[in-house]
Amino acid sequence: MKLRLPGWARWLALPAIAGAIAGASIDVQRLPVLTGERIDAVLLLDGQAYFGHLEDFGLSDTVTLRDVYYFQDARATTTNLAVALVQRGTELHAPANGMQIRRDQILAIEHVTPTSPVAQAIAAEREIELLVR
Amino acid sequence: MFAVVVLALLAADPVRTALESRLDPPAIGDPATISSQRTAAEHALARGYAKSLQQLRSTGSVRLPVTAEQAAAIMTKAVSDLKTVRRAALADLATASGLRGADATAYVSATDPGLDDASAVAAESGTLLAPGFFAIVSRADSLLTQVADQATRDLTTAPGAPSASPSPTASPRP
Repeated sequence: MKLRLPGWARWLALPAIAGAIAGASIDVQRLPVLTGERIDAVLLLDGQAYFGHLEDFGLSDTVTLRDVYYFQDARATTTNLAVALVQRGTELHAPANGMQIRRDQILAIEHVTPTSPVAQAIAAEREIELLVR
Repeated sequence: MFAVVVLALLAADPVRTALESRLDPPAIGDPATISSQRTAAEHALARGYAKSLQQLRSTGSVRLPVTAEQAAAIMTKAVSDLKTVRRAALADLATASGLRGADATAYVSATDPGLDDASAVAAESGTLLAPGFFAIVSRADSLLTQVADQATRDLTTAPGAPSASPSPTASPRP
């Protein structure tokens, strides 16, 4: 029996499946449907750390981070922690459409564990945003 | 040509965002996470209140330029203001946690008295708060400090004494 696929499947679905398999062979955690949400930590040379959804296309001089959070000094507060997590976007210029980071300023990129304090705080923030609506 | 158009559409921001939200849904905190975060924020409020109260008591324990009655009145007003700030912060925590109306009022009334004593949570390890909860704690800390600082100024300034920043006067010419 010969399998006949419609034209759109040949031109869209098959390349997409091939791409997913090729991507998974490089990094299994790139398959979001299997591993859940993926948050990356981008650590910069100047010591700053940003957390969010990373888009890294190898041909670009920059990487893009969306849904961005970062650490802020919290030593003046009573949280008993030196840092606090802040969501990017609340600054005066209200940055939109993610954050482009120059590749040559990046020291390291790491996956954020879903059970880590950063991931828990981000998840809680999303729940708060839903609750206050 | 068709494939190029499809790829361009997939790369467009709205389409890409919609695809990502389906394939990579953002993790949402469960009620237990929100509850533990709120408790950590309450403890931070308790520490902030205790810190400001300690500042007032330290100031009140030294010899002051105001009378005992004036000092007592200043202290009473400051403590009342500190509690007002704390209750307002708890109300904000209730709203951020999804509590409304009578539920929020009941939460504030039930939680507020328990925050008078922060000794049990003074040295606990901190919790990384969600930005929404941290903003409430940070604002409350700032206001609590302002109240304590103002009371300290009132307690340590003699009635009728010149203000801390006197207006400049011309110095005598030689």
